[in-house]
Amino acid sequence: MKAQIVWNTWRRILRDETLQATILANKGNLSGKLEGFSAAEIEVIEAYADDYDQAKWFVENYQFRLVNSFINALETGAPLSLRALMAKQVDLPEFSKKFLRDHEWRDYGPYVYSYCKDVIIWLTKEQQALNLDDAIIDLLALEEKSVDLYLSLRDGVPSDDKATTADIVTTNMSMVYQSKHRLSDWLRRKSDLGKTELDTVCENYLVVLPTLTARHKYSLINKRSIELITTPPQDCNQLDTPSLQVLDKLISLNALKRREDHA
Amino acid sequence: MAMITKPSPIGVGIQYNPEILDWFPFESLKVDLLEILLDNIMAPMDGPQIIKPGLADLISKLGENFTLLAHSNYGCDFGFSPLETTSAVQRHAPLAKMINSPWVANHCFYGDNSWLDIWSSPIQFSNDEIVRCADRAAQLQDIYGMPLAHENAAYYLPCPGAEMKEAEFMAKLVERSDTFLHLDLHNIYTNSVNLANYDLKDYLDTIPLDKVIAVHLAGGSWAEGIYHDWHDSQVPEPVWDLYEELMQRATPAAIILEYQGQAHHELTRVMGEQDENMITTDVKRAQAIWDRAMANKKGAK
Repeated sequence: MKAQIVWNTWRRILRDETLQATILANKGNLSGKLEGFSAAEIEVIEAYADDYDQAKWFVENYQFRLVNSFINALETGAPLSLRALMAKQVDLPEFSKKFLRDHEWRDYGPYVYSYCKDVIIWLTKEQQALNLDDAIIDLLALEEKSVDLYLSLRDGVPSDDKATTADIVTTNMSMVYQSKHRLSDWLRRKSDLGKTELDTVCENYLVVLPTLTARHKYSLINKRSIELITTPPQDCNQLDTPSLQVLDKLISLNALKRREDHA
Repeated sequence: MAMITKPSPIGVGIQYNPEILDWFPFESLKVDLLEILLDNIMAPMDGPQIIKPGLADLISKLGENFTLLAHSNYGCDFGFSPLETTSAVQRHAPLAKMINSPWVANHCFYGDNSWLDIWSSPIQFSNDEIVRCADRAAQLQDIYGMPLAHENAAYYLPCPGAEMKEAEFMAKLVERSDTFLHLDLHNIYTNSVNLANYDLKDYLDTIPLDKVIAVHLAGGSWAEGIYHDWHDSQVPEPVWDLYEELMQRATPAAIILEYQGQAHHELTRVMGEQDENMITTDVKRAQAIWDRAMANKKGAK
Protein backbone atom coordinates (compact mmCIF):
# COMPACT_ATOMS: atom_id res chain seq x y z
CA MET A 1 0.00 0.00 0.00
CA LYS A 2 1.37 3.40 -0.93
CA ALA A 3 1.65 5.55 2.17
CA GLN A 4 0.19 8.66 0.58
CA ILE A 5 -2.91 6.77 -0.58
CA VAL A 6 -3.31 5.28 2.90
CA TRP A 7 -3.00 8.71 4.51
CA ASN A 8 -5.39 10.47 2.15
CA THR A 9 -7.96 7.68 2.43
CA TRP A 10 -7.63 7.61 6.22
CA ARG A 11 -8.29 11.36 6.32
CA ARG A 12 -11.51 10.77 4.40
CA ILE A 13 -12.55 8.14 6.94
CA LEU A 14 -11.74 10.51 9.80
CA ARG A 15 -13.94 13.25 8.37
CA ASP A 16 -16.80 11.32 6.79
CA GLU A 17 -19.41 10.14 9.30
CA THR A 18 -21.39 8.33 6.60
CA LEU A 19 -18.32 6.35 5.58
CA GLN A 20 -17.63 5.53 9.25
CA ALA A 21 -21.19 4.23 9.62
CA THR A 22 -20.82 2.15 6.45
CA ILE A 23 -17.61 0.59 7.78
CA LEU A 24 -19.18 -0.11 11.15
CA ALA A 25 -22.32 -1.68 9.66
CA ASN A 26 -20.52 -3.80 7.08
CA LYS A 27 -17.28 -4.91 8.74
CA GLY A 28 -15.90 -7.91 6.85
CA ASN A 29 -18.32 -7.46 3.98
CA LEU A 30 -17.60 -4.08 2.44
CA SER A 31 -17.52 -5.16 -1.20
CA GLY A 32 -20.15 -3.33 -3.16
CA LYS A 33 -20.81 -0.93 -0.27
CA LEU A 34 -18.14 1.61 -1.19
CA GLU A 35 -18.79 3.85 -4.16
CA GLY A 36 -16.44 6.42 -5.64
CA PHE A 37 -13.25 4.83 -4.34
CA SER A 38 -10.38 3.33 -6.33
CA ALA A 39 -9.29 -0.26 -5.77
CA ALA A 40 -6.26 0.99 -3.81
CA GLU A 41 -8.47 3.15 -1.59
CA ILE A 42 -10.89 0.29 -0.96
CA GLU A 43 -7.96 -1.87 0.12
CA VAL A 44 -7.08 0.81 2.70
CA ILE A 45 -10.65 1.14 3.94
CA GLU A 46 -10.92 -2.63 4.33
CA ALA A 47 -7.67 -2.66 6.31
CA TYR A 48 -9.08 -0.11 8.77
CA ALA A 49 -12.45 -1.91 8.81
CA ASP A 50 -10.72 -5.14 9.88
CA ASP A 51 -9.53 -3.40 13.04
CA TYR A 52 -12.30 -0.88 13.48
CA ASP A 53 -12.59 -1.54 17.24
CA GLN A 54 -9.15 0.07 17.52
CA ALA A 55 -9.53 2.58 14.67
CA LYS A 56 -12.71 3.99 16.23
CA TRP A 57 -10.58 5.42 19.05
CA PHE A 58 -8.65 7.45 16.49
CA VAL A 59 -11.96 8.75 15.14
CA GLU A 60 -13.46 9.52 18.56
CA ASN A 61 -10.29 11.30 19.66
CA TYR A 62 -10.19 13.31 16.45
CA GLN A 63 -13.76 14.46 16.90
CA PHE A 64 -13.21 15.28 20.59
CA ARG A 65 -10.17 17.40 19.76
CA LEU A 66 -12.03 19.18 16.97
CA VAL A 67 -14.98 20.01 19.20
CA ASN A 68 -12.56 21.75 21.57
CA SER A 69 -10.76 23.45 18.70
CA PHE A 70 -13.91 25.46 17.92
CA ILE A 71 -13.48 27.18 21.29
CA ASN A 72 -9.76 27.67 20.65
CA ALA A 73 -10.57 29.36 17.34
CA LEU A 74 -12.88 31.83 19.09
CA GLU A 75 -10.37 32.33 21.90
CA THR A 76 -7.70 33.21 19.35
CA GLY A 77 -9.68 35.49 17.04
CA ALA A 78 -12.76 36.55 18.98
CA PRO A 79 -12.00 36.26 22.70
CA LEU A 80 -14.52 38.91 23.75
CA SER A 81 -17.32 37.19 21.86
CA LEU A 82 -16.32 33.88 23.42
CA ARG A 83 -16.56 35.46 26.85
CA ALA A 84 -19.94 36.91 26.02
CA LEU A 85 -21.20 33.56 24.71
CA MET A 86 -19.98 31.85 27.87
CA ALA A 87 -21.73 34.48 29.99
CA LYS A 88 -24.92 33.67 28.07
CA GLN A 89 -24.32 30.01 29.01
CA VAL A 90 -24.74 28.81 25.45
CA ASP A 91 -23.87 25.17 24.80
CA LEU A 92 -20.54 25.70 23.03
CA PRO A 93 -19.72 22.00 22.49
CA GLU A 94 -23.13 21.60 20.85
CA PHE A 95 -22.52 24.69 18.67
CA SER A 96 -19.15 23.22 17.81
CA LYS A 97 -20.59 19.87 16.73
CA LYS A 98 -23.18 21.61 14.53
CA PHE A 99 -20.51 23.78 12.94
CA LEU A 100 -18.19 20.83 12.37
CA ARG A 101 -20.95 18.73 10.80
CA ASP A 102 -21.69 21.67 8.47
CA HIS A 103 -17.98 21.79 7.63
CA GLU A 104 -17.48 18.01 7.35
CA TRP A 105 -15.20 17.77 10.40
CA ARG A 106 -12.54 19.86 8.72
CA ASP A 107 -9.25 20.25 10.55
CA TYR A 108 -8.16 23.85 9.95
CA GLY A 109 -4.80 23.13 11.55
CA PRO A 110 -2.63 26.18 12.16
CA TYR A 111 -4.88 28.43 10.06
CA VAL A 112 -6.73 29.58 13.14
CA TYR A 113 -7.81 33.02 11.88
CA SER A 114 -9.47 31.40 8.85
CA TYR A 115 -11.13 28.95 11.23
CA CYS A 116 -12.34 31.77 13.47
CA LYS A 117 -13.61 33.73 10.46
CA ASP A 118 -15.66 30.72 9.32
CA VAL A 119 -17.01 30.25 12.86
CA ILE A 120 -18.08 33.91 13.03
CA ILE A 121 -19.75 33.69 9.61
CA TRP A 122 -21.56 30.51 10.68
CA LEU A 123 -22.71 31.92 14.04
CA THR A 124 -24.02 35.00 12.28
CA LYS A 125 -25.82 32.95 9.63
CA GLU A 126 -27.33 30.69 12.30
CA GLN A 127 -28.21 33.55 14.66
CA GLN A 128 -31.90 32.71 14.86
CA ALA A 129 -31.47 28.95 15.12
CA LEU A 130 -28.88 29.42 17.86
CA ASN A 131 -30.93 32.12 19.58
CA LEU A 132 -28.12 34.69 19.64
CA ASP A 133 -29.06 38.30 20.30
CA ASP A 134 -28.13 41.21 18.07
CA ALA A 135 -25.53 42.65 20.44
CA ILE A 136 -23.52 39.40 20.38
CA ILE A 137 -23.66 39.39 16.58
CA ASP A 138 -22.46 43.00 16.62
CA LEU A 139 -19.54 42.08 18.88
CA LEU A 140 -18.70 39.12 16.63
CA ALA A 141 -18.66 41.49 13.65
CA LEU A 142 -16.28 43.84 15.46
CA GLU A 143 -13.93 40.98 16.21
CA GLU A 144 -14.29 39.70 12.67
CA LYS A 145 -12.62 42.96 11.63
CA SER A 146 -9.59 42.11 13.76
CA VAL A 147 -9.49 38.65 12.20
CA ASP A 148 -9.70 40.26 8.74
CA LEU A 149 -6.84 42.53 9.72
CA TYR A 150 -4.58 39.63 10.69
CA LEU A 151 -5.54 37.74 7.54
CA SER A 152 -4.77 40.79 5.40
CA LEU A 153 -1.28 40.96 6.90
CA ARG A 154 -0.56 37.26 6.45
CA ASP A 155 2.18 37.97 3.90
CA GLY A 156 3.43 41.08 5.70
CA VAL A 157 2.47 44.72 5.50
CA PRO A 158 1.75 45.81 1.92
CA SER A 159 4.28 48.28 0.55
CA ASP A 160 3.41 51.95 0.22
CA ASP A 161 2.10 53.17 -3.11
CA LYS A 162 5.26 54.56 -4.72
CA ALA A 163 3.25 56.78 -7.04
CA THR A 164 1.47 58.70 -4.31
CA THR A 165 2.41 62.28 -3.57
CA ALA A 166 0.25 62.55 -0.48
CA ASP A 167 1.71 63.74 2.81
CA ILE A 168 -0.12 61.05 4.73
CA VAL A 169 -0.65 57.40 3.82
CA THR A 170 -2.32 54.45 5.44
CA THR A 171 -0.22 51.97 7.41
CA ASN A 172 -2.42 49.13 6.13
CA MET A 173 -2.47 47.98 9.75
CA SER A 174 -5.95 49.12 10.72
CA MET A 175 -9.60 48.72 9.81
CA VAL A 176 -12.75 50.58 10.75
CA TYR A 177 -15.94 49.10 12.16
CA GLN A 178 -19.26 50.80 12.70
CA SER A 179 -21.29 49.11 15.41
CA LYS A 180 -25.06 49.06 15.86
CA HIS A 181 -24.86 48.92 19.66
CA ARG A 182 -22.95 50.72 22.39
CA LEU A 183 -20.30 48.00 22.49
CA SER A 184 -18.06 50.34 24.45
CA ASP A 185 -20.08 49.45 27.56
CA TRP A 186 -18.82 45.87 27.26
CA LEU A 187 -15.31 46.79 26.13
CA ARG A 188 -14.83 49.07 29.12
CA ARG A 189 -16.30 46.59 31.62
CA LYS A 190 -15.34 43.12 30.45
CA SER A 191 -17.20 41.57 33.37
CA ASP A 192 -20.41 42.80 31.71
CA LEU A 193 -19.71 41.02 28.41
CA GLY A 194 -22.86 39.20 27.38
CA LYS A 195 -24.55 40.00 30.67
CA THR A 196 -26.01 43.49 30.19
CA GLU A 197 -28.32 44.94 27.57
CA LEU A 198 -26.75 47.45 25.18
CA ASP A 199 -28.31 50.58 23.71
CA THR A 200 -28.78 50.60 19.96
CA VAL A 201 -26.30 53.35 19.22
CA CYS A 202 -23.84 53.58 16.37
CA GLU A 203 -20.17 53.72 17.41
CA ASN A 204 -17.08 53.92 15.21
CA TYR A 205 -14.15 51.70 16.04
CA LEU A 206 -10.61 51.66 14.84
CA VAL A 207 -9.20 48.13 14.86
CA VAL A 208 -5.44 48.51 14.76
CA LEU A 209 -2.16 46.69 15.24
CA PRO A 210 0.18 49.10 17.07
CA THR A 211 3.14 47.10 15.73
CA LEU A 212 3.40 43.93 13.69
CA THR A 213 4.30 41.90 16.78
CA ALA A 214 1.67 43.41 19.11
CA ARG A 215 -1.90 42.35 19.77
CA HIS A 216 -4.61 44.42 18.09
CA LYS A 217 -6.42 47.23 19.89
CA TYR A 218 -9.85 48.81 19.62
CA SER A 219 -10.24 52.59 19.82
CA LEU A 220 -13.41 54.62 19.60
CA ILE A 221 -13.01 57.22 16.87
CA ASN A 222 -15.09 60.09 15.51
CA LYS A 223 -16.42 60.78 12.03
CA ARG A 224 -13.52 63.07 11.14
CA SER A 225 -11.14 60.20 11.89
CA ILE A 226 -13.00 57.98 9.46
CA GLU A 227 -12.80 60.68 6.79
CA LEU A 228 -9.06 61.03 7.30
CA ILE A 229 -8.52 57.25 7.25
CA THR A 230 -10.68 56.82 4.17
CA THR A 231 -9.03 59.71 2.36
CA PRO A 232 -5.59 60.46 3.83
CA PRO A 233 -4.72 64.14 3.32
CA GLN A 234 -2.62 65.05 0.33
CA ASP A 235 -1.41 68.29 1.92
CA CYS A 236 -1.37 68.71 5.68
CA ASN A 237 -1.13 72.46 5.31
CA GLN A 238 -4.72 72.45 4.13
CA LEU A 239 -5.97 70.96 7.41
CA ASP A 240 -7.41 73.04 10.21
CA THR A 241 -6.14 72.69 13.77
CA PRO A 242 -8.79 70.23 15.01
CA SER A 243 -8.15 68.02 11.98
CA LEU A 244 -4.41 68.12 12.62
CA GLN A 245 -5.04 66.99 16.19
CA VAL A 246 -7.15 64.09 14.98
CA LEU A 247 -4.46 63.25 12.43
CA ASP A 248 -1.76 63.19 15.13
CA LYS A 249 -3.92 60.84 17.16
CA LEU A 250 -4.41 58.49 14.20
CA ILE A 251 -0.67 58.52 13.53
CA SER A 252 0.06 57.69 17.17
CA LEU A 253 -2.42 54.82 16.98
CA ASN A 254 -0.65 53.52 13.84
CA ALA A 255 -3.64 53.90 11.52
CA LEU A 256 -1.90 56.50 9.37
CA LYS A 257 1.70 57.58 8.85
CA ARG A 258 3.65 60.35 7.23
CA ARG A 259 5.03 59.25 3.89
CA GLU A 260 8.57 57.98 4.51
CA ASP A 261 10.33 60.33 2.07
CA HIS A 262 8.11 63.22 3.03
CA ALA A 263 8.75 63.86 6.73
CA MET B 1 25.31 21.53 5.63
CA ALA B 2 26.44 22.19 9.23
CA MET B 3 27.73 19.32 11.39
CA ILE B 4 25.03 18.60 13.96
CA THR B 5 25.95 16.62 17.07
CA LYS B 6 24.15 15.33 20.14
CA PRO B 7 24.23 17.87 23.02
CA SER B 8 25.76 17.15 26.42
CA PRO B 9 23.46 15.98 29.26
CA ILE B 10 21.30 18.69 30.82
CA GLY B 11 19.12 16.90 33.36
CA VAL B 12 15.50 16.29 34.28
CA GLY B 13 12.51 18.52 33.62
CA ILE B 14 8.85 18.70 32.83
CA GLN B 15 6.62 19.66 29.94
CA TYR B 16 5.27 23.19 30.37
CA ASN B 17 1.76 22.14 29.46
CA PRO B 18 -0.83 24.93 29.28
CA GLU B 19 -3.61 22.51 30.22
CA ILE B 20 -2.33 22.27 33.81
CA LEU B 21 -0.85 25.74 33.98
CA ASP B 22 -3.66 27.15 36.10
CA TRP B 23 -2.85 24.93 39.08
CA PHE B 24 0.61 23.44 38.70
CA PRO B 25 3.48 25.64 40.03
CA PHE B 26 5.97 25.16 37.19
CA GLU B 27 8.05 28.20 38.07
CA SER B 28 8.83 27.02 41.60
CA LEU B 29 9.64 23.43 40.63
CA LYS B 30 13.30 22.44 41.11
CA VAL B 31 14.09 21.08 37.66
CA ASP B 32 16.77 21.70 35.04
CA LEU B 33 14.52 22.28 32.08
CA LEU B 34 11.05 22.99 30.75
CA GLU B 35 9.77 21.54 27.54
CA ILE B 36 7.95 24.22 25.55
CA LEU B 37 5.18 23.13 23.19
CA LEU B 38 5.86 25.24 20.13
CA ASP B 39 2.32 24.87 18.81
CA ASN B 40 0.99 26.52 21.95
CA ILE B 41 3.15 29.60 21.60
CA MET B 42 3.12 29.99 17.83
CA ALA B 43 0.89 32.55 16.18
CA PRO B 44 -1.53 31.27 13.51
CA MET B 45 -0.01 30.53 10.11
CA ASP B 46 -2.54 32.78 8.39
CA GLY B 47 -1.44 35.87 10.29
CA PRO B 48 1.71 38.00 10.30
CA GLN B 49 3.22 36.96 13.62
CA ILE B 50 5.58 34.15 14.59
CA ILE B 51 4.84 34.04 18.33
CA LYS B 52 1.52 34.89 19.98
CA PRO B 53 1.54 38.51 21.17
CA GLY B 54 2.50 38.78 24.83
CA LEU B 55 4.21 35.41 25.09
CA ALA B 56 7.72 36.53 24.17
CA ASP B 57 8.19 38.12 27.60
CA LEU B 58 6.91 35.05 29.42
CA ILE B 59 9.21 32.74 27.48
CA SER B 60 12.14 35.04 28.05
CA LYS B 61 11.44 35.02 31.80
CA LEU B 62 11.21 31.22 31.90
CA GLY B 63 14.50 31.07 30.01
CA GLU B 64 16.25 32.92 32.83
CA ASN B 65 15.68 29.99 35.20
CA PHE B 66 15.42 26.91 33.00
CA THR B 67 16.84 25.46 29.82
CA LEU B 68 13.92 25.55 27.39
CA LEU B 69 13.45 22.62 25.04
CA ALA B 70 11.49 23.02 21.84
CA HIS B 71 8.84 20.37 21.31
CA SER B 72 6.67 20.23 18.26
CA ASN B 73 3.40 18.36 17.98
CA TYR B 74 2.06 19.68 14.71
CA GLY B 75 5.08 20.48 12.59
CA CYS B 76 3.86 18.17 9.81
CA ASP B 77 7.44 16.90 9.53
CA PHE B 78 6.36 13.71 7.78
CA GLY B 79 3.37 14.92 5.78
CA PHE B 80 3.25 15.09 2.00
CA SER B 81 2.86 18.84 1.51
CA PRO B 82 5.98 20.80 0.51
CA LEU B 83 8.28 21.12 3.50
CA GLU B 84 8.60 24.88 3.12
CA THR B 85 4.85 25.28 3.69
CA THR B 86 4.81 23.44 7.03
CA SER B 87 4.49 24.87 10.53
CA ALA B 88 7.85 23.27 11.24
CA VAL B 89 9.58 25.55 8.77
CA GLN B 90 7.41 28.66 8.99
CA ARG B 91 6.92 28.84 12.76
CA HIS B 92 8.76 26.17 14.74
CA ALA B 93 12.22 26.76 13.31
CA PRO B 94 12.30 30.47 14.22
CA LEU B 95 10.65 29.77 17.59
CA ALA B 96 13.14 27.02 18.51
CA LYS B 97 15.94 29.48 17.83
CA MET B 98 14.12 32.24 19.73
CA ILE B 99 13.97 30.13 22.91
CA ASN B 100 17.62 28.99 22.48
CA SER B 101 16.60 25.36 22.45
CA PRO B 102 19.50 22.92 22.13
CA TRP B 103 17.38 20.68 19.86
CA VAL B 104 13.84 20.19 18.65
CA ALA B 105 11.65 17.09 18.78
CA ASN B 106 8.50 16.03 16.96
CA HIS B 107 6.28 12.98 16.66
CA CYS B 108 6.13 10.32 13.98
CA PHE B 109 2.68 11.09 12.66
CA TYR B 110 1.30 12.23 9.34
CA GLY B 111 -0.07 15.74 9.06
CA ASP B 112 -0.66 18.17 6.21
CA ASN B 113 -1.77 21.69 7.10
CA SER B 114 -3.50 20.05 10.03
CA TRP B 115 -3.36 19.75 13.79
CA LEU B 116 -5.94 17.39 15.12
CA ASP B 117 -5.85 14.47 12.70
CA ILE B 118 -2.16 14.13 13.53
CA TRP B 119 -2.57 12.16 16.77
CA SER B 120 -4.77 9.69 14.89
CA SER B 121 -2.35 9.09 12.04
CA PRO B 122 0.86 7.17 12.80
CA ILE B 123 3.29 6.86 9.90
CA GLN B 124 3.62 3.72 7.85
CA PHE B 125 6.58 1.55 8.80
CA SER B 126 7.56 0.71 5.24
CA ASN B 127 10.81 0.78 3.29
CA ASP B 128 9.56 3.52 0.98
CA GLU B 129 8.65 5.68 3.95
CA ILE B 130 12.09 5.26 5.50
CA VAL B 131 13.57 6.85 2.40
CA ARG B 132 10.96 9.60 2.05
CA CYS B 133 10.76 10.50 5.75
CA ALA B 134 14.51 10.32 6.30
CA ASP B 135 15.30 12.59 3.37
CA ARG B 136 12.65 15.05 4.54
CA ALA B 137 13.97 14.87 8.11
CA ALA B 138 17.55 15.56 7.00
CA GLN B 139 16.37 18.59 5.05
CA LEU B 140 14.32 19.83 8.01
CA GLN B 141 17.18 19.36 10.49
CA ASP B 142 19.31 21.49 8.22
CA ILE B 143 16.65 24.22 8.24
CA TYR B 144 16.40 24.08 12.04
CA GLY B 145 20.19 24.26 12.33
CA MET B 146 20.01 22.10 15.45
CA PRO B 147 19.46 18.41 16.19
CA LEU B 148 16.02 17.14 15.17
CA ALA B 149 14.72 14.21 17.21
CA HIS B 150 11.80 11.98 16.20
CA GLU B 151 9.47 10.82 18.93
CA ASN B 152 8.02 7.32 18.76
CA ALA B 153 4.22 7.53 18.92
CA ALA B 154 1.49 5.78 20.86
CA TYR B 155 -1.28 4.48 18.62
CA TYR B 156 -4.28 2.19 18.69
CA LEU B 157 -3.46 0.65 15.36
CA PRO B 158 -0.38 0.74 13.11
CA CYS B 159 -0.75 2.39 9.73
CA PRO B 160 -1.76 -0.25 7.13
CA GLY B 161 1.06 -1.30 4.84
CA ALA B 162 3.71 -1.74 7.53
CA GLU B 163 6.65 -3.90 6.50
CA MET B 164 8.60 -3.91 9.75
CA LYS B 165 8.35 -3.26 13.47
CA GLU B 166 8.36 0.31 14.73
CA ALA B 167 11.76 0.02 16.44
CA GLU B 168 13.36 -1.23 13.24
CA PHE B 169 11.78 1.62 11.29
CA MET B 170 13.05 4.22 13.77
CA ALA B 171 16.56 2.74 13.64
CA LYS B 172 16.68 2.80 9.84
CA LEU B 173 15.13 6.27 9.72
CA VAL B 174 17.83 7.94 11.82
CA GLU B 175 20.57 5.90 10.20
CA ARG B 176 19.65 7.37 6.82
CA SER B 177 18.74 10.89 7.96
CA ASP B 178 21.48 11.40 10.55
CA THR B 179 18.85 12.86 12.83
CA PHE B 180 18.08 11.76 16.40
CA LEU B 181 15.54 10.01 18.60
CA HIS B 182 13.25 11.34 21.29
CA LEU B 183 12.28 8.18 23.10
CA ASP B 184 8.86 8.17 24.74
CA LEU B 185 9.02 5.25 27.12
CA HIS B 186 5.35 5.47 28.00
CA ASN B 187 4.41 5.26 24.33
CA ILE B 188 6.49 2.09 24.01
CA TYR B 189 4.77 0.67 27.08
CA THR B 190 1.29 1.70 25.87
CA ASN B 191 1.80 0.08 22.47
CA SER B 192 3.17 -3.08 24.08
CA VAL B 193 0.00 -3.32 26.18
CA ASN B 194 -2.42 -2.71 23.31
CA LEU B 195 -0.82 -4.11 20.19
CA ALA B 196 -0.13 -7.70 19.25
CA ASN B 197 3.44 -8.31 18.05
CA TYR B 198 4.75 -5.13 19.69
CA ASP B 199 7.78 -6.15 21.70
CA LEU B 200 8.66 -4.02 24.71
CA LYS B 201 11.71 -6.10 25.47
CA ASP B 202 13.59 -5.80 22.18
CA TYR B 203 12.83 -2.11 21.57
CA LEU B 204 15.99 -0.84 23.27
CA ASP B 205 18.02 -3.59 21.60
CA THR B 206 16.86 -2.48 18.16
CA ILE B 207 17.23 1.31 18.17
CA PRO B 208 20.64 3.03 18.15
CA LEU B 209 20.82 4.16 21.80
CA ASP B 210 23.56 6.68 21.10
CA LYS B 211 21.01 8.56 19.00
CA VAL B 212 18.60 9.07 21.92
CA ILE B 213 18.68 12.76 22.80
CA ALA B 214 15.67 12.97 25.08
CA VAL B 215 13.20 10.79 26.93
CA HIS B 216 9.54 11.25 27.81
CA LEU B 217 8.06 9.69 30.94
CA ALA B 218 4.31 9.73 31.47
CA GLY B 219 1.32 7.79 32.71
CA GLY B 220 -1.98 6.78 31.22
CA SER B 221 -5.37 5.24 31.97
CA TRP B 222 -7.47 2.22 31.12
CA ALA B 223 -10.81 2.82 29.42
CA GLU B 224 -13.03 0.28 27.70
CA GLY B 225 -10.35 -2.38 27.70
CA ILE B 226 -7.65 -0.22 26.12
CA TYR B 227 -4.71 1.48 27.82
CA HIS B 228 -4.51 5.13 26.73
CA ASP B 229 -1.54 7.50 26.61
CA TRP B 230 -3.49 10.29 28.30
CA HIS B 231 -0.80 11.68 30.63
CA ASP B 232 -3.34 11.78 33.45
CA SER B 233 -1.70 9.61 36.08
CA GLN B 234 1.62 8.71 37.66
CA VAL B 235 4.35 7.01 35.69
CA PRO B 236 3.69 3.23 35.85
CA GLU B 237 6.31 0.77 37.15
CA PRO B 238 7.12 -0.87 33.79
CA VAL B 239 8.05 2.60 32.46
CA TRP B 240 10.33 3.21 35.45
CA ASP B 241 11.98 -0.14 34.76
CA LEU B 242 12.52 0.81 31.13
CA TYR B 243 13.96 4.17 32.20
CA GLU B 244 16.38 2.47 34.63
CA GLU B 245 17.51 0.12 31.88
CA LEU B 246 17.92 2.93 29.38
CA MET B 247 20.02 4.98 31.79
CA GLN B 248 22.35 2.02 32.29
CA ARG B 249 22.83 1.64 28.57
CA ALA B 250 22.65 5.17 27.18
CA THR B 251 23.23 8.83 27.98
CA PRO B 252 20.30 10.95 26.86
CA ALA B 253 20.62 14.70 27.26
CA ALA B 254 17.26 15.21 28.97
CA ILE B 255 14.43 13.44 30.74
CA ILE B 256 11.01 15.11 30.52
CA LEU B 257 7.89 14.19 32.45
CA GLU B 258 4.50 14.85 30.84
CA TYR B 259 1.10 15.61 32.39
CA GLN B 260 -1.85 17.18 30.65
CA GLY B 261 -5.57 17.85 30.70
CA GLN B 262 -8.46 16.32 28.81
CA ALA B 263 -6.84 16.75 25.42
CA HIS B 264 -7.93 13.66 23.53
CA HIS B 265 -11.03 12.04 24.99
CA GLU B 266 -13.82 12.78 27.44
CA LEU B 267 -12.94 9.69 29.47
CA THR B 268 -9.55 11.19 30.39
CA ARG B 269 -9.20 11.92 34.08
CA VAL B 270 -9.11 15.66 34.69
CA MET B 271 -6.21 16.42 37.01
CA GLY B 272 -6.16 19.22 39.54
CA GLU B 273 -4.33 20.65 42.53
CA GLN B 274 -4.70 17.34 44.36
CA ASP B 275 -2.30 15.83 41.79
CA GLU B 276 0.59 18.20 42.51
CA ASN B 277 2.16 15.78 44.98
CA MET B 278 1.88 12.91 42.49
CA ILE B 279 3.75 14.94 39.88
CA THR B 280 6.50 16.17 42.20
CA THR B 281 6.98 12.61 43.50
CA ASP B 282 7.44 11.37 39.92
CA VAL B 283 9.85 14.23 39.19
CA LYS B 284 11.96 13.44 42.27
CA ARG B 285 12.08 9.74 41.38
CA ALA B 286 13.18 10.59 37.83
CA GLN B 287 15.86 12.91 39.20
CA ALA B 288 17.16 10.26 41.62
CA ILE B 289 17.51 7.71 38.82
CA TRP B 290 19.21 10.31 36.63
CA ASP B 291 21.62 11.37 39.39
CA ARG B 292 22.54 7.79 40.20
CA ALA B 293 23.09 6.86 36.56
CA MET B 294 25.18 9.95 35.85
CA ALA B 295 27.28 9.31 38.98
CA ASN B 296 27.89 5.74 37.84
CA LYS B 297 28.92 6.93 34.40
CA LYS B 298 31.35 9.42 36.00
CA GLY B 299 32.74 6.72 38.27
CA ALA B 300 33.21 4.36 35.36
CA LYS B 301 35.39 6.85 33.48
